[in-house]
Amino acid sequence: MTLANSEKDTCPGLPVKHIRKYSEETIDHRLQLKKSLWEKIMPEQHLVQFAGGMGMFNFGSGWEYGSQRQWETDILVGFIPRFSSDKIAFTVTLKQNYLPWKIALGKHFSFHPLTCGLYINTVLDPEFWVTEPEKYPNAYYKFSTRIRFHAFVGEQLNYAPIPSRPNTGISFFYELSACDLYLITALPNKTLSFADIVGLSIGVKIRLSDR
Amino acid sequence: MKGFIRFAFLPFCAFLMGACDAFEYHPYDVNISGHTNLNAQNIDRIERICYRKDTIRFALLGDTHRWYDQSRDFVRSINARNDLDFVIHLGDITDFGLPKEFQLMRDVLLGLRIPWVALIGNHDVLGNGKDCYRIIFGADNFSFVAGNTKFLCMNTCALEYDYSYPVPDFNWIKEELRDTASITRTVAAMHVKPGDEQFNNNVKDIFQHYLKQFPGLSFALHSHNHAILTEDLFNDGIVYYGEANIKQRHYFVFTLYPSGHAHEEIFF
Repeated sequence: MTLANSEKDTCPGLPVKHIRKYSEETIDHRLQLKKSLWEKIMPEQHLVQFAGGMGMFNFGSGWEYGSQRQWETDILVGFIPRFSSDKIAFTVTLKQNYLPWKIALGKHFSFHPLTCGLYINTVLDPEFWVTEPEKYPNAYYKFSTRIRFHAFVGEQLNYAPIPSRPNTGISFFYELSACDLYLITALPNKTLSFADIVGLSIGVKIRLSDR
Repeated sequence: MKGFIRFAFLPFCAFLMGACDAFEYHPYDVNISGHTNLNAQNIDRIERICYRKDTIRFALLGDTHRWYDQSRDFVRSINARNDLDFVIHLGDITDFGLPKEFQLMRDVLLGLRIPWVALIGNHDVLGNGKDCYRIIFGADNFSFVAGNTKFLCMNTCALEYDYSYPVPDFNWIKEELRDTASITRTVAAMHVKPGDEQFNNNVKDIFQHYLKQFPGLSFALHSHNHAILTEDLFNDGIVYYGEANIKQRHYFVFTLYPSGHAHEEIFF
Protein backbone atom coordinates (compact mmCIF):
# COMPACT_ATOMS: atom_id res chain seq x y z
CA MET A 1 0.00 0.00 0.00
CA THR A 2 1.17 3.51 -0.80
CA LEU A 3 -1.43 5.66 0.90
CA ALA A 4 1.20 8.04 2.28
CA ASN A 5 2.63 8.66 -1.17
CA SER A 6 -0.69 9.21 -2.85
CA GLU A 7 -1.74 11.66 -0.12
CA LYS A 8 1.41 13.51 -0.82
CA ASP A 9 0.80 13.44 -4.57
CA THR A 10 -2.79 14.67 -4.45
CA CYS A 11 -1.93 17.58 -2.20
CA PRO A 12 1.25 19.01 -3.55
CA GLY A 13 2.66 21.95 -1.63
CA LEU A 14 0.71 21.39 1.59
CA PRO A 15 2.67 20.53 4.68
CA VAL A 16 2.10 16.98 5.83
CA LYS A 17 0.83 16.79 9.43
CA HIS A 18 0.26 13.09 9.75
CA ILE A 19 0.93 10.05 7.63
CA ARG A 20 -1.05 6.87 8.22
CA LYS A 21 1.04 3.95 7.09
CA TYR A 22 -0.17 0.50 6.07
CA SER A 23 2.45 -2.10 5.53
CA GLU A 24 2.05 -5.26 3.52
CA GLU A 25 2.93 -7.19 6.65
CA THR A 26 0.02 -5.81 8.71
CA ILE A 27 -2.57 -6.85 6.14
CA ASP A 28 -0.96 -10.22 5.75
CA HIS A 29 -1.12 -10.69 9.50
CA ARG A 30 -4.83 -9.85 9.57
CA LEU A 31 -5.55 -12.34 6.82
CA GLN A 32 -3.60 -14.88 8.81
CA LEU A 33 -5.69 -14.23 11.94
CA LYS A 34 -8.92 -14.62 9.97
CA LYS A 35 -7.73 -17.85 8.43
CA SER A 36 -6.71 -19.43 11.69
CA LEU A 37 -10.09 -18.58 13.24
CA TRP A 38 -11.83 -20.34 10.33
CA GLU A 39 -9.44 -23.22 10.69
CA LYS A 40 -10.31 -23.49 14.34
CA ILE A 41 -14.03 -23.97 13.72
CA MET A 42 -13.79 -25.81 10.40
CA PRO A 43 -14.59 -29.54 10.69
CA GLU A 44 -11.47 -31.67 10.68
CA GLN A 45 -13.09 -34.89 9.60
CA HIS A 46 -15.86 -35.94 7.24
CA LEU A 47 -17.52 -39.31 7.49
CA VAL A 48 -20.08 -41.68 6.06
CA GLN A 49 -21.63 -44.20 8.43
CA PHE A 50 -23.85 -47.07 7.34
CA ALA A 51 -26.66 -48.23 9.72
CA GLY A 52 -26.17 -48.04 13.50
CA GLY A 53 -29.77 -47.08 14.31
CA MET A 54 -29.26 -43.51 13.05
CA GLY A 55 -30.39 -44.03 9.44
CA MET A 56 -29.32 -46.07 6.43
CA PHE A 57 -26.52 -43.83 5.07
CA ASN A 58 -25.43 -41.02 7.37
CA PHE A 59 -23.18 -38.19 6.20
CA GLY A 60 -21.42 -36.00 8.71
CA SER A 61 -18.55 -33.81 9.78
CA GLY A 62 -16.79 -33.43 13.06
CA TRP A 63 -13.90 -32.28 15.19
CA GLU A 64 -11.00 -33.94 16.99
CA TYR A 65 -9.60 -32.59 20.23
CA GLY A 66 -7.73 -33.50 23.40
CA SER A 67 -4.00 -33.89 23.94
CA GLN A 68 -3.98 -37.26 22.15
CA ARG A 69 -6.87 -36.32 19.84
CA GLN A 70 -8.82 -38.86 21.87
CA TRP A 71 -12.13 -36.97 21.67
CA GLU A 72 -14.32 -36.52 18.61
CA THR A 73 -17.68 -34.85 18.09
CA ASP A 74 -19.65 -35.46 14.89
CA ILE A 75 -22.92 -34.21 13.45
CA LEU A 76 -24.57 -36.51 10.91
CA VAL A 77 -27.60 -36.32 8.64
CA GLY A 78 -29.19 -39.56 7.43
CA PHE A 79 -32.34 -41.10 6.11
CA ILE A 80 -34.59 -44.08 6.91
CA PRO A 81 -35.77 -45.96 3.79
CA ARG A 82 -39.51 -46.29 3.32
CA PHE A 83 -39.70 -50.09 3.51
CA SER A 84 -43.30 -50.86 4.58
CA SER A 85 -44.09 -47.46 6.10
CA ASP A 86 -45.76 -44.63 4.20
CA LYS A 87 -42.72 -42.39 3.59
CA ILE A 88 -38.96 -42.05 3.98
CA ALA A 89 -37.79 -40.02 6.95
CA PHE A 90 -34.68 -37.95 7.63
CA THR A 91 -32.64 -38.03 10.80
CA VAL A 92 -30.03 -35.90 12.58
CA THR A 93 -27.45 -37.38 14.95
CA LEU A 94 -25.08 -35.73 17.42
CA LYS A 95 -22.27 -38.15 18.24
CA GLN A 96 -19.56 -38.08 20.89
CA ASN A 97 -16.63 -40.48 20.46
CA TYR A 98 -13.86 -41.46 22.86
CA LEU A 99 -10.76 -43.20 21.45
CA PRO A 100 -8.53 -43.82 24.46
CA TRP A 101 -5.65 -45.76 22.86
CA LYS A 102 -3.81 -45.56 19.58
CA ILE A 103 -1.36 -48.25 18.45
CA ALA A 104 1.13 -47.35 15.70
CA LEU A 105 1.44 -50.03 13.02
CA GLY A 106 4.45 -49.02 10.95
CA LYS A 107 4.84 -45.81 8.94
CA HIS A 108 1.37 -45.50 7.49
CA PHE A 109 -1.08 -47.37 9.70
CA SER A 110 -2.39 -46.97 13.21
CA PHE A 111 -5.15 -48.71 15.09
CA HIS A 112 -7.64 -47.73 17.78
CA PRO A 113 -8.43 -50.98 19.63
CA LEU A 114 -11.40 -49.35 21.36
CA THR A 115 -13.76 -46.60 20.31
CA CYS A 116 -16.81 -45.89 22.41
CA GLY A 117 -19.35 -43.18 23.00
CA LEU A 118 -22.92 -42.00 22.89
CA TYR A 119 -25.15 -40.44 20.30
CA ILE A 120 -28.51 -38.74 20.23
CA ASN A 121 -30.70 -39.32 17.19
CA THR A 122 -33.87 -37.53 16.16
CA VAL A 123 -36.38 -38.42 13.44
CA LEU A 124 -37.53 -35.39 11.43
CA ASP A 125 -41.16 -36.47 11.22
CA PRO A 126 -44.06 -34.59 12.84
CA GLU A 127 -45.76 -37.89 13.72
CA PHE A 128 -42.96 -38.55 16.19
CA TRP A 129 -43.06 -36.55 19.42
CA VAL A 130 -40.55 -35.31 21.96
CA THR A 131 -43.20 -34.82 24.63
CA GLU A 132 -46.62 -36.41 24.36
CA PRO A 133 -49.29 -34.50 22.42
CA GLU A 134 -51.87 -32.77 24.61
CA LYS A 135 -54.60 -35.27 23.72
CA TYR A 136 -53.09 -37.77 26.16
CA PRO A 137 -53.78 -37.72 29.90
CA ASN A 138 -50.68 -36.73 31.92
CA ALA A 139 -47.64 -39.05 31.68
CA TYR A 140 -49.53 -41.53 29.52
CA TYR A 141 -46.55 -43.04 27.69
CA LYS A 142 -43.58 -41.53 29.56
CA PHE A 143 -41.15 -41.74 26.60
CA SER A 144 -40.32 -39.87 23.42
CA THR A 145 -40.76 -41.56 20.04
CA ARG A 146 -38.61 -38.85 18.43
CA ILE A 147 -35.38 -38.79 20.48
CA ARG A 148 -33.26 -41.92 20.86
CA PHE A 149 -30.07 -42.28 22.87
CA HIS A 150 -27.53 -44.85 21.68
CA ALA A 151 -24.36 -46.28 23.22
CA PHE A 152 -21.65 -47.95 21.17
CA VAL A 153 -18.26 -49.68 21.24
CA GLY A 154 -16.06 -50.36 18.22
CA GLU A 155 -12.63 -50.30 16.64
CA GLN A 156 -10.90 -48.12 14.04
CA LEU A 157 -8.03 -48.58 11.58
CA ASN A 158 -6.25 -45.47 10.27
CA TYR A 159 -4.16 -44.99 7.15
CA ALA A 160 -1.94 -41.90 6.78
CA PRO A 161 -0.40 -41.57 3.29
CA ILE A 162 2.17 -38.98 4.46
CA PRO A 163 4.09 -40.26 7.52
CA SER A 164 4.87 -36.71 8.72
CA ARG A 165 1.12 -35.97 8.92
CA PRO A 166 -0.17 -38.90 10.98
CA ASN A 167 -3.64 -37.38 11.51
CA THR A 168 -4.36 -36.80 7.85
CA GLY A 169 -5.72 -39.71 5.93
CA ILE A 170 -8.52 -42.20 5.86
CA SER A 171 -9.99 -44.29 8.70
CA PHE A 172 -12.25 -47.32 8.64
CA PHE A 173 -14.37 -48.21 11.65
CA TYR A 174 -17.11 -50.47 12.86
CA GLU A 175 -19.38 -50.08 15.88
CA LEU A 176 -21.80 -52.21 17.88
CA SER A 177 -24.64 -50.14 19.31
CA ALA A 178 -27.96 -50.36 21.12
CA CYS A 179 -30.56 -47.69 21.87
CA ASP A 180 -32.11 -46.77 25.21
CA LEU A 181 -35.41 -48.59 24.55
CA TYR A 182 -33.61 -51.80 23.55
CA LEU A 183 -31.54 -51.77 26.72
CA ILE A 184 -34.51 -51.32 29.04
CA THR A 185 -36.27 -54.10 27.10
CA ALA A 186 -33.44 -56.63 27.26
CA LEU A 187 -32.07 -56.00 30.74
CA PRO A 188 -35.03 -57.25 32.85
CA ASN A 189 -35.56 -60.34 30.66
CA LYS A 190 -33.41 -63.41 31.20
CA THR A 191 -34.57 -64.84 27.87
CA LEU A 192 -33.27 -61.85 25.87
CA SER A 193 -29.56 -61.47 25.19
CA PHE A 194 -27.40 -58.67 23.85
CA ALA A 195 -27.38 -60.45 20.49
CA ASP A 196 -31.13 -59.72 20.30
CA ILE A 197 -30.68 -55.96 20.59
CA VAL A 198 -27.18 -55.02 19.36
CA GLY A 199 -26.80 -53.59 15.86
CA LEU A 200 -23.72 -53.29 13.67
CA SER A 201 -22.58 -50.25 11.71
CA ILE A 202 -19.56 -49.53 9.52
CA GLY A 203 -18.06 -46.27 8.34
CA VAL A 204 -15.30 -44.35 6.62
CA LYS A 205 -13.71 -41.12 7.86
CA ILE A 206 -11.56 -38.63 5.96
CA ARG A 207 -9.31 -36.92 8.53
CA LEU A 208 -7.67 -33.56 7.87
CA SER A 209 -6.38 -32.78 11.35
CA ASP A 210 -2.74 -31.95 10.46
CA ARG A 211 -3.59 -28.87 8.44
CA MET B 1 2.23 -56.02 10.96
CA LYS B 2 -0.17 -57.29 8.33
CA GLY B 3 -0.74 -60.34 10.50
CA PHE B 4 -1.67 -58.10 13.39
CA ILE B 5 -4.18 -56.16 11.31
CA ARG B 6 -5.75 -59.35 10.15
CA PHE B 7 -5.99 -60.53 13.74
CA ALA B 8 -7.43 -57.26 14.99
CA PHE B 9 -10.06 -57.17 12.28
CA LEU B 10 -11.06 -60.78 12.65
CA PRO B 11 -14.17 -59.95 14.71
CA PHE B 12 -15.08 -57.35 12.11
CA CYS B 13 -14.91 -59.87 9.25
CA ALA B 14 -16.84 -62.43 11.26
CA PHE B 15 -19.63 -59.92 11.79
CA LEU B 16 -19.73 -58.97 8.13
CA MET B 17 -20.01 -62.57 7.00
CA GLY B 18 -22.42 -63.81 9.59
CA ALA B 19 -24.76 -60.96 10.24
CA CYS B 20 -26.18 -58.82 7.48
CA ASP B 21 -29.30 -58.80 9.64
CA ALA B 22 -27.25 -57.06 12.32
CA PHE B 23 -27.25 -53.84 10.28
CA GLU B 24 -30.16 -51.90 11.68
CA TYR B 25 -30.90 -48.62 9.97
CA HIS B 26 -33.17 -47.22 12.63
CA PRO B 27 -35.23 -48.51 15.59
CA TYR B 28 -38.36 -47.29 13.79
CA ASP B 29 -37.62 -48.57 10.27
CA VAL B 30 -40.37 -50.95 9.15
CA ASN B 31 -38.02 -53.56 7.71
CA ILE B 32 -39.72 -56.77 8.84
CA SER B 33 -38.08 -60.15 8.39
CA GLY B 34 -39.59 -63.54 9.12
CA HIS B 35 -43.27 -64.46 9.39
CA THR B 36 -45.87 -61.99 8.12
CA ASN B 37 -49.66 -61.92 7.66
CA LEU B 38 -50.03 -64.24 10.63
CA ASN B 39 -53.67 -63.58 11.55
CA ALA B 40 -55.00 -64.78 8.19
CA GLN B 41 -52.90 -67.95 8.37
CA ASN B 42 -53.96 -68.69 11.95
CA ILE B 43 -57.63 -67.93 11.23
CA ASP B 44 -57.44 -70.52 8.49
CA ARG B 45 -56.13 -73.06 11.01
CA ILE B 46 -58.71 -72.09 13.68
CA GLU B 47 -61.62 -72.41 11.25
CA ARG B 48 -60.41 -75.82 10.11
CA ILE B 49 -59.79 -77.10 13.67
CA CYS B 50 -63.18 -75.88 14.92
CA TYR B 51 -65.23 -76.82 11.88
CA ARG B 52 -68.48 -78.45 13.07
CA LYS B 53 -67.08 -78.70 16.57
CA ASP B 54 -69.79 -78.16 19.22
CA THR B 55 -67.50 -77.25 22.13
CA ILE B 56 -64.81 -74.61 21.61
CA ARG B 57 -62.17 -73.78 24.19
CA PHE B 58 -59.73 -70.85 23.94
CA ALA B 59 -57.34 -68.89 26.13
CA LEU B 60 -56.77 -65.13 26.42
CA LEU B 61 -53.46 -63.33 26.48
CA GLY B 62 -53.23 -59.64 27.34
CA ASP B 63 -50.66 -56.83 27.36
CA THR B 64 -47.36 -58.61 26.79
CA HIS B 65 -45.37 -55.33 26.45
CA ARG B 66 -41.77 -55.91 27.62
CA TRP B 67 -42.51 -59.08 29.63
CA TYR B 68 -40.73 -61.60 27.42
CA ASP B 69 -39.83 -64.05 30.20
CA GLN B 70 -43.45 -64.23 31.39
CA SER B 71 -44.72 -64.53 27.80
CA ARG B 72 -42.37 -67.46 27.24
CA ASP B 73 -43.76 -69.10 30.39
CA PHE B 74 -47.27 -68.49 29.09
CA VAL B 75 -46.37 -70.30 25.86
CA ARG B 76 -44.97 -73.19 27.90
CA SER B 77 -48.10 -73.30 30.07
CA ILE B 78 -50.41 -73.35 27.03
CA ASN B 79 -48.30 -75.96 25.21
CA ALA B 80 -48.53 -78.21 28.28
CA ARG B 81 -52.32 -78.48 27.80
CA ASN B 82 -54.12 -80.29 25.04
CA ASP B 83 -57.68 -79.07 25.62
CA LEU B 84 -57.40 -75.66 23.90
CA ASP B 85 -58.32 -74.78 20.32
CA PHE B 86 -56.68 -71.36 20.02
CA VAL B 87 -55.36 -68.25 21.81
CA ILE B 88 -56.43 -64.62 21.41
CA HIS B 89 -53.87 -61.90 22.19
CA LEU B 90 -55.93 -58.84 23.16
CA GLY B 91 -53.35 -56.22 22.14
CA ASP B 92 -50.38 -54.23 23.41
CA ILE B 93 -48.05 -56.78 21.94
CA THR B 94 -45.26 -54.18 22.30
CA ASP B 95 -44.39 -51.32 24.62
CA PHE B 96 -43.02 -48.69 22.20
CA GLY B 97 -44.38 -49.87 18.82
CA LEU B 98 -40.82 -50.77 17.72
CA PRO B 99 -40.36 -53.25 14.83
CA LYS B 100 -37.79 -55.08 16.98
CA GLU B 101 -40.37 -55.59 19.75
CA PHE B 102 -42.99 -56.83 17.28
CA GLN B 103 -40.56 -59.38 15.88
CA LEU B 104 -39.20 -60.53 19.24
CA MET B 105 -42.69 -61.04 20.73
CA ARG B 106 -43.95 -62.63 17.51
CA ASP B 107 -41.10 -65.14 17.69
CA VAL B 108 -41.94 -65.94 21.33
CA LEU B 109 -45.62 -66.53 20.47
CA LEU B 110 -44.71 -68.59 17.38
CA GLY B 111 -43.71 -71.18 19.97
CA LEU B 112 -47.43 -71.85 20.55
CA ARG B 113 -48.48 -75.18 19.09
CA ILE B 114 -52.12 -74.10 18.71
CA PRO B 115 -53.15 -71.22 16.42
CA TRP B 116 -53.29 -67.71 17.81
CA VAL B 117 -54.46 -64.28 16.64
CA ALA B 118 -53.36 -60.88 17.91
CA LEU B 119 -55.37 -57.66 18.15
CA ILE B 120 -53.83 -54.19 17.93
CA GLY B 121 -53.33 -52.26 21.18
CA ASN B 122 -52.68 -48.56 21.70
CA HIS B 123 -48.94 -49.13 22.28
CA ASP B 124 -48.76 -51.06 19.01
CA VAL B 125 -49.85 -47.95 17.10
CA LEU B 126 -46.97 -45.75 18.34
CA GLY B 127 -44.25 -44.59 15.95
CA ASN B 128 -44.47 -46.82 12.88
CA GLY B 129 -46.12 -49.55 14.96
CA LYS B 130 -49.36 -49.62 12.99
CA ASP B 131 -47.34 -50.43 9.83
CA CYS B 132 -45.50 -53.23 11.65
CA TYR B 133 -48.82 -54.63 12.90
CA ARG B 134 -50.30 -54.51 9.37
CA ILE B 135 -47.29 -56.38 7.91
CA ILE B 136 -46.92 -59.01 10.63
CA PHE B 137 -50.57 -59.58 11.59
CA GLY B 138 -52.81 -57.96 8.96
CA ALA B 139 -55.88 -55.71 9.10
CA ASP B 140 -56.65 -54.06 12.45
CA ASN B 141 -60.30 -55.24 12.26
CA PHE B 142 -60.82 -58.91 11.52
CA SER B 143 -63.27 -61.70 12.26
CA PHE B 144 -63.31 -65.45 12.18
CA VAL B 145 -65.79 -68.24 12.75
CA ALA B 146 -65.04 -71.08 15.18
CA GLY B 147 -67.77 -73.70 15.03
CA ASN B 148 -70.94 -71.62 14.97
CA THR B 149 -69.45 -68.67 16.83
CA LYS B 150 -68.32 -65.48 15.18
CA PHE B 151 -65.40 -63.66 16.78
CA LEU B 152 -65.27 -59.92 16.10
CA CYS B 153 -61.77 -58.56 16.69
CA MET B 154 -61.78 -54.77 16.59
CA ASN B 155 -59.38 -51.86 16.85
CA THR B 156 -60.82 -49.63 19.59
CA CYS B 157 -57.71 -47.48 20.32
CA ALA B 158 -59.35 -44.26 19.10
CA LEU B 159 -57.08 -41.86 21.01
CA GLU B 160 -54.14 -42.90 18.82
CA TYR B 161 -55.84 -41.77 15.60
CA ASP B 162 -57.47 -38.62 14.29
CA TYR B 163 -60.90 -38.57 12.71
CA SER B 164 -59.57 -39.46 9.26
CA TYR B 165 -59.27 -43.05 10.45
CA PRO B 166 -62.45 -44.60 11.90
CA VAL B 167 -62.03 -46.27 15.32
CA PRO B 168 -64.18 -48.22 15.93
CA ASP B 169 -64.95 -48.79 12.24
CA PHE B 170 -68.74 -48.94 11.91
CA ASN B 171 -68.54 -49.59 8.18
CA TRP B 172 -66.56 -52.72 8.91
CA ILE B 173 -69.04 -53.73 11.66
CA LYS B 174 -71.95 -53.23 9.22
CA GLU B 175 -70.18 -55.37 6.63
CA GLU B 176 -69.74 -58.09 9.26
CA LEU B 177 -73.44 -57.85 10.17
CA ARG B 178 -74.31 -58.84 6.59
CA ASP B 179 -72.14 -61.93 6.93
CA THR B 180 -73.80 -63.86 9.76
CA ALA B 181 -75.40 -66.83 7.97
CA SER B 182 -75.15 -70.04 10.05
CA ILE B 183 -73.87 -68.02 13.03
CA THR B 184 -75.61 -68.72 16.32
CA ARG B 185 -73.29 -66.93 18.72
CA THR B 186 -71.00 -63.89 18.69
CA VAL B 187 -68.04 -62.92 20.89
CA ALA B 188 -66.60 -59.40 20.67
CA ALA B 189 -62.88 -58.84 21.33
CA MET B 190 -61.05 -55.51 21.59
CA HIS B 191 -58.04 -54.01 23.33
CA VAL B 192 -59.80 -51.04 24.94
CA LYS B 193 -63.23 -51.38 26.54
CA PRO B 194 -65.96 -48.76 26.06
CA GLY B 195 -65.71 -46.00 28.68
CA ASP B 196 -61.91 -46.04 28.83
CA GLU B 197 -60.00 -42.83 27.99
CA GLN B 198 -58.68 -44.53 24.81
CA PHE B 199 -62.19 -45.32 23.53
CA ASN B 200 -64.26 -42.90 21.44
CA ASN B 201 -66.87 -42.58 24.17
CA ASN B 202 -69.11 -40.37 22.09
CA VAL B 203 -70.13 -43.56 20.27
CA LYS B 204 -69.87 -46.16 23.01
CA ASP B 205 -73.68 -46.66 23.23
CA ILE B 206 -73.94 -46.92 19.44
CA PHE B 207 -71.04 -49.37 19.49
CA GLN B 208 -72.86 -51.56 22.00
CA HIS B 209 -76.07 -51.18 20.02
CA TYR B 210 -74.37 -52.47 16.88
CA LEU B 211 -72.71 -55.37 18.72
CA LYS B 212 -76.12 -56.47 20.01
CA GLN B 213 -77.40 -56.76 16.42
CA PHE B 214 -75.13 -59.80 15.99
CA PRO B 215 -76.73 -63.22 16.54
CA GLY B 216 -76.40 -64.39 20.14
CA LEU B 217 -73.92 -61.82 21.43
CA SER B 218 -72.61 -63.68 24.50
CA PHE B 219 -69.84 -61.58 26.04
CA ALA B 220 -66.97 -59.23 25.22
CA LEU B 221 -63.23 -59.45 25.85
CA HIS B 222 -60.66 -56.71 26.40
CA SER B 223 -57.34 -56.03 28.11
CA HIS B 224 -55.53 -52.63 28.43
CA ASN B 225 -56.40 -52.05 32.11
CA HIS B 226 -53.77 -54.50 33.41
CA ALA B 227 -56.39 -55.88 35.77
CA ILE B 228 -58.66 -58.92 35.93
CA LEU B 229 -62.11 -57.43 35.37
CA THR B 230 -65.63 -58.80 35.05
CA GLU B 231 -68.08 -55.98 34.38
CA ASP B 232 -71.56 -55.59 32.93
CA LEU B 233 -70.60 -52.23 31.43
CA PHE B 234 -73.99 -51.31 29.93
CA ASN B 235 -76.21 -53.11 32.47
CA ASP B 236 -77.66 -55.17 29.65
CA GLY B 237 -76.34 -58.61 30.58
CA ILE B 238 -73.35 -58.47 28.21
CA VAL B 239 -70.30 -59.03 30.42
CA TYR B 240 -66.95 -57.47 29.49
CA TYR B 241 -64.09 -59.66 30.69
CA GLY B 242 -60.79 -57.85 31.19
CA GLU B 243 -57.56 -59.81 30.88
CA ALA B 244 -54.60 -58.86 33.11
CA ASN B 245 -51.13 -58.15 31.76
CA ILE B 246 -48.87 -61.16 31.36
CA LYS B 247 -46.64 -59.98 34.21
CA GLN B 248 -49.41 -61.16 36.54
CA ARG B 249 -49.05 -64.66 35.04
CA HIS B 250 -52.78 -65.00 34.58
CA TYR B 251 -54.99 -66.12 31.74
CA PHE B 252 -58.67 -66.76 31.20
CA VAL B 253 -59.90 -69.94 29.55
CA PHE B 254 -63.35 -69.75 27.96
CA THR B 255 -65.38 -72.78 26.96
CA LEU B 256 -68.26 -72.38 24.54
CA TYR B 257 -70.81 -75.17 24.97
CA PRO B 258 -73.74 -75.73 22.57
CA SER B 259 -75.85 -73.89 25.14
CA GLY B 260 -74.02 -71.33 27.21
CA HIS B 261 -70.40 -70.81 28.15
CA ALA B 262 -68.08 -71.11 31.12
CA HIS B 263 -64.78 -69.51 32.05
CA GLU B 264 -61.95 -70.20 34.45
CA GLU B 265 -58.89 -68.29 35.56
CA ILE B 266 -55.43 -69.82 35.42
CA PHE B 267 -52.44 -68.51 37.35
CA PHE B 268 -49.19 -70.05 36.17
